[in-house]
Amino acid sequence: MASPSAEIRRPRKRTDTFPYKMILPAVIMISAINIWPVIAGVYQSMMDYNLLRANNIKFNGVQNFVQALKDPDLISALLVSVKWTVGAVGFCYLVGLFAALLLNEQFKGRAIYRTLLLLPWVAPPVVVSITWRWILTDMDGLLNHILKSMHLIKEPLLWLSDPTLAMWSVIMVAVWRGFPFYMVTILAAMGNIPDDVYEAARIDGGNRWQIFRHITFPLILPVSVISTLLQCIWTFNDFGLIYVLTGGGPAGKTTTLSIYAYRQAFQYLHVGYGSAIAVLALLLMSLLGILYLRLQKKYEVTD
Amino acid sequence: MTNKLSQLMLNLLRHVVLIGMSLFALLPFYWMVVTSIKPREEQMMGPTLIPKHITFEAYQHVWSETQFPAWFWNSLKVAAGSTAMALLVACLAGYAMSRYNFKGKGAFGTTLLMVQMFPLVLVGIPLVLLISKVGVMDKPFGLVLVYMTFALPFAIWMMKGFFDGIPRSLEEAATIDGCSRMQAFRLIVLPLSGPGLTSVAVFTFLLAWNEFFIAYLFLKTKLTLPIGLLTFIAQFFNQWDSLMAASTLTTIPVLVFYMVLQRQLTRGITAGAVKG
Amino acid sequence: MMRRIRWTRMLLVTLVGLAVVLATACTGKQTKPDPGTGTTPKKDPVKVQFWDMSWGDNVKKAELDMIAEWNAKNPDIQVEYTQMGWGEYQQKLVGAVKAGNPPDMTGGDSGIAFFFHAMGEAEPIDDVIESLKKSGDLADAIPWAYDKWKVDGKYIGFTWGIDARAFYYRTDIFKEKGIKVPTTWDELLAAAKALNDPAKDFYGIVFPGKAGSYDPDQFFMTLAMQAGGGLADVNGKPAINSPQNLQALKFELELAKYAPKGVTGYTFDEAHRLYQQGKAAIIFNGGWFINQMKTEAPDIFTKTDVMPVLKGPSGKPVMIGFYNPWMIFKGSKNKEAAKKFFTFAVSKQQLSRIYKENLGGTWPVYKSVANDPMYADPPMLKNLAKAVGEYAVDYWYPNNKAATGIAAVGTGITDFIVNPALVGTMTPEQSLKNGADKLEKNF
Repeated sequence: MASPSAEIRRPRKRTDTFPYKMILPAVIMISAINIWPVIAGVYQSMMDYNLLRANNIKFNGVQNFVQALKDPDLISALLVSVKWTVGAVGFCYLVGLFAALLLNEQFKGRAIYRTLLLLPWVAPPVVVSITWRWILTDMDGLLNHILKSMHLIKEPLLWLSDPTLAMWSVIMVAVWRGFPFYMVTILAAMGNIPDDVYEAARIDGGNRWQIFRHITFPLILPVSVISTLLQCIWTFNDFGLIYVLTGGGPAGKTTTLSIYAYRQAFQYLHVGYGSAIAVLALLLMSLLGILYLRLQKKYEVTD
Repeated sequence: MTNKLSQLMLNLLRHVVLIGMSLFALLPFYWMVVTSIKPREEQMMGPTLIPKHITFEAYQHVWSETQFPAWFWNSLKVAAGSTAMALLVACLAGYAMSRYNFKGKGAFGTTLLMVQMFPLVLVGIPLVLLISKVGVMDKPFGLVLVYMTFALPFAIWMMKGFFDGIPRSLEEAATIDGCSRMQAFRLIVLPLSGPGLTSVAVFTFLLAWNEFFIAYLFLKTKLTLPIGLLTFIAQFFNQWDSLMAASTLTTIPVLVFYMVLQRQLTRGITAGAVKG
Repeated sequence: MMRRIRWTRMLLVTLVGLAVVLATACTGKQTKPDPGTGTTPKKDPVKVQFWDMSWGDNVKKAELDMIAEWNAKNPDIQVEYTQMGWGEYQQKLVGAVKAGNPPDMTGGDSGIAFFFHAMGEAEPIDDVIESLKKSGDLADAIPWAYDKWKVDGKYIGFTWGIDARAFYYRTDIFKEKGIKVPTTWDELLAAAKALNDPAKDFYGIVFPGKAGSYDPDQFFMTLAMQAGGGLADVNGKPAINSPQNLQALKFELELAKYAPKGVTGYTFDEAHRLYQQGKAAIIFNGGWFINQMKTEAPDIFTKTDVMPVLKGPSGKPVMIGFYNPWMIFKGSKNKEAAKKFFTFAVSKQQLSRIYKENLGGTWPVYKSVANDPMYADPPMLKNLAKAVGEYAVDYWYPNNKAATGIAAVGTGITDFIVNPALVGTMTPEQSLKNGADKLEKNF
């Protein structure tokens, strides 16, 4: 099965086209499906494009953006988005970390727990939101029913209708859905730490907390940082979960930037303005992205 | 003595906590299934943990009197097609990223990251216009193109990480023996990438099976499951019995798929995550 | 040897993958044969594209039956039916119009014809109205069913059904406590107060109030119309921050005292469950609720009746109803054929299919249909049918001059006016002003 000798000799002076050919399909798809629509979307964001006056679309430059920055509802939506992202990602991480710590040793039943705890991740989001909405209803929701029968509450809790509680409820559902991702990635990173490191620490007389703080945590930090950044981006842009649970209410307390953009574009039919808001969100995310790249360089495991 | 006792106590505590967390994780699934087997009147009657009567009429209704089988088949086609294509494209690109330092590699990698940040609200309308120009609106193939592309950043990242873990010496030996680079890739590297391929497959399948927003914009008649479920959420009230039964049926294949491939999956994420 | 086997396996896998992908692409492109085509036409039939909203399985079935009957009798004009979702139908329609490829006939929200008329895309259907006059159907129709769609001297649509809202109450509880069935606001408030008993998990009244939903604005607008308010004045000028609307909002807050605290998170769905669980004396809900109760809570059903239409401070009884139209596009390539089908579809006989299949969900635009046996049992059906014919007002378009602005209100009434006031983060005066500021920009 001898191949022509040309294959063996790797051309050094000519550019090797092999890698380019390999990435070509990906480049084509991403350009068409991801990049082109964003360019079109950015273009759309600079138009006075209102579906009500669809015959009268004019270019208006940065006016939409100026209007956005002066819009008090947008500022509050941004604050809600920040609260939501920090809360959801933060608690997801803590719960995921906690679960990973619990599951990091060999014990009977470990595999079962690991399977059960991964289930929330695989459920279809539509199903999740709808089911949780019923569970959290005050009068006939399962959660209040259980809490009441355990005598933990007397009055039904207004999970989704109370202005302060609503954000926590939404975060709770996000944690339910999102902690498995962290659990798995952190477990994987922990699995990479050789046992003799722990042995040495124990011989030196360290207790659990010290071991965690000085050995485990620093070693899972790279993976933690990177998965957290990714989760932040996904959470910030997330729309469906909150929308189905609270519709952005009560009184706008859970209206994130993505819900606000959706409303502007799809309900009030200010397509140009809605696009501008989405572009602002994109710019914000890009900042996070740049942060990720810097951190990746810092924590990169050299091959 | 106290050491053993405290060890036992800690073990017990660990189990208690894990059981608590598992119950929390299972709560919505339980509610979904339990509601779907209650008769209609009992469903509306207020929350009960144990049904008084059990009936499968909701399932029968969903399976034989609604479009559910068609949605199921559409979702399966879309998910399978997206997975196949994503695997193909991601493997090629991931291999290039792993083995070669070419001009534009950094830009490509950065692009892969950046595209994950694009809010769907922004790309929704332009994407609809683009896809309808190409003529694949309301066709499963249109969704396949979109979903495989959405999966690419994660898939390429995963495969690259996996390939990084396979020593180059194997391919080098092969090429010295007279293999072309493609052959070396196909015959040496790919067969060793089982766990990586599996995790990409599971990820893409899940993405395609569960995706909602784009499907909502694209599909009119050939609905996939998430959009089909939405039809049970009529404008002013939900048909809970059909909804819960259909939701259960929608979740089961994913659970099965996941359980079967679980071991491969965690191995794949391990290797990819740590080395990526 | 190994290499060859592996290669064959790889090839096989690739082929299977390709086959899957191709299967997706190919089966996707197949067009399904028309349902209900009995005869094989001699020449290519004209295809009429009819798009409508997802009004539920019942309406869909009635529409498909209607189309099947037409297709069987008219081999030269074949109608194809497509459903649109509530999330993106405007985008879809506008996109199609701009691409030069609109459907021939479409349904939509209760103002869709105005929306497209403003773009110059609505086809006048005066000839259809003429045919209805000749057939005698027009004389039986509620005048607003066609007058609503007279713009600039021409008719641009016709109402196929009315979607109404009503108050229902527990006849047994009212009787037991000796409370008179309310006909005015004061009586309603008094009844809710007298029957409210939170300690026993029982509430005077329940209604929707959740943000991001259309349901709460329907409740509020009912009260607003009963107070003589509304969204726009007779000249089409926005009039949101009016004293009448304020009075209505304040009244809603009064009623909320005798409702569960969770109403700020309720849509019709949650409210109906509560009422069916026997936890409320009065509920505001849609016409479909009658049949819904019959299936889901038969014993509450036997103890429920519809309240007579309330007289608000305006002195006139008012109930809200959405007069939902069908229309034809100027850009249609088969206008004559579409108009023929349109005339057929809006006849009393054909529309009655919808009224029958979706009993209670869609109310007739033809007055005599209220006497049809399908409304005989229970009596509340007939009462409601009659009430709709007499009192139902389209709050989105009580007159059609403000039409275009109203299309972009979305859930704004709920989000800016009702929900914040109910939750308590704004006073009614503040939220009404806030709503007016935000929404009036569109007019």
